[in-house]
Amino acid sequence: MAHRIHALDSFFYSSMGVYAFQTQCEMLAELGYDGMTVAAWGGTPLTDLSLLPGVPKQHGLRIEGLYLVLHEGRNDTLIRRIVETVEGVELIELAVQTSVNGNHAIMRFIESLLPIAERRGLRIALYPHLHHVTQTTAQVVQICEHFAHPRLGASFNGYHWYASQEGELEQRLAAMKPWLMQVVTSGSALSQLGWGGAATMEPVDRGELDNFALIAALNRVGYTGSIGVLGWDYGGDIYLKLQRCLATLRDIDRRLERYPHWSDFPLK
Amino acid sequence: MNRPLHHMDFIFQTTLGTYPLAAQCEMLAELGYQGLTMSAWSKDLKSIAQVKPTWGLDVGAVYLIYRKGLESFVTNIFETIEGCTTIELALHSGDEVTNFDRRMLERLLPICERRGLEISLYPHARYGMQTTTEAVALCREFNHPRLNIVFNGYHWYATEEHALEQRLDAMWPWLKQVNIAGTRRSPLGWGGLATIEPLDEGEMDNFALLGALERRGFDGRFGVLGWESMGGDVYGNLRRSVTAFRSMEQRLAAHPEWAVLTDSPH
Repeated sequence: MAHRIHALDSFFYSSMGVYAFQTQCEMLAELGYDGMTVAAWGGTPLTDLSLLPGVPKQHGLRIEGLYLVLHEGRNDTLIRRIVETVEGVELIELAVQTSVNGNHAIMRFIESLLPIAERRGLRIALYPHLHHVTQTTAQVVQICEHFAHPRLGASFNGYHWYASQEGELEQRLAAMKPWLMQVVTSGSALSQLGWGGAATMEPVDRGELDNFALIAALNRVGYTGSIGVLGWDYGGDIYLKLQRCLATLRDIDRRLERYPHWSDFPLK
Repeated sequence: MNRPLHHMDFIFQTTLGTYPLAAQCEMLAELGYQGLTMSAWSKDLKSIAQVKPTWGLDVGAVYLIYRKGLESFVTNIFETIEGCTTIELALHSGDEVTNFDRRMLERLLPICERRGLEISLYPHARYGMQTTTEAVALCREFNHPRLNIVFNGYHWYATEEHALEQRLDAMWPWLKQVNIAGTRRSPLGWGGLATIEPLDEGEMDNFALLGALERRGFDGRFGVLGWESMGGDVYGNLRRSVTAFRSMEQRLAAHPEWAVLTDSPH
């Protein structure tokens, strides 16, 4: 099937600086992306979040998510305030990077978001991230199962799954299936020179990770949502890298539709 | 807007051998480049004058490195070069700019006056004159109309000199040419510092660099840096770079404001 394709705004960060939000939207719209996600990091976004509600009308792009990073015991109030107030986005992607008070405190924090999500019509997708407290899909699935709340789910990030060498893609996606709210992928090769000393982050037409096989596996678990491109650490001439990534993912969708048997092989 | 785009001839010097001049020029002309920078160690220096009539390309500059002991070689190039008036000069007489470099410049500038040549100082990572700051200091010191600077985006990035806008402002009175490459910091790259790649690759944002130059009204020539480490099909790499350059150029004309970035806190 043809997925919606979105870019993470981390595409627009490089050692040279950060692109203006207006430019980000104009480039993505011109290239034909369906949407984007915006990062508010640990509570100090580089983007003025009050601009989000205007994006669909002004640029024809969907805001597919807002990315937040919890440092439990340090920025809980800040993160909760953003969830309480943000407009123009329905999905919150939450990574848990560090914790002062441990697992129980993280669970209490997530629990505290659920009534806010109910009241404001939001969904919370836990985002496994290498070198973070919650780094594997198994960890976030466990949290989802614990709360079993319709507004709490998980985000699958192909890069972090690959870089953490969690393996068993089919089984991992099957376990995530009831909770799967968002997907992000990237080109990547295991390398000490890559991000976190673990794996490179590259445009989706490069690297060792087979995004064709990965998207086929997502189709098999019935994922019909948007697929995001990571963009972090790619840098360079952003526009051309965005263009390559979009062309590659559209082509993968086209091939999967036309030649379903090409992906019909058992994954390791 | 169709800026003159040249390519440095290093790209044709691979570990398997060096392409003949005719192949170099035919490839560049076919792909839409306007010229080339020839390295001083090229066997084709004597053919420079034939390049324009034969292939329609300009030899914008000759790239030359001064090291201690090369005084006669360097002087001889200045005394004999024909068909090209700019020498891009890297200085590497020590760990920093030394009096050997200064004495060399003192000897070369009168030749430039007499023969109508110009020197563009070429800051180069891991050489004595590494940074644009050092090149600007030499230009100030000599204050000679025939002593200017070629800004190389790759070496600026590889040396982590940073502060692009300030560096361009400081260089501006002397800035004649700009060389660019795709590049990413990596211990596997040139000099253990940064890779040299086609313009559509790497981490450094050449679109942002072009924008910063455009805002200052730069109207000089651009050269693309290629190196043997780039590997692969030379023609393919040349094509990728010219395609990326023209794409950036078009976007910059349509959306100059796209290239205005704010500093990254990361």
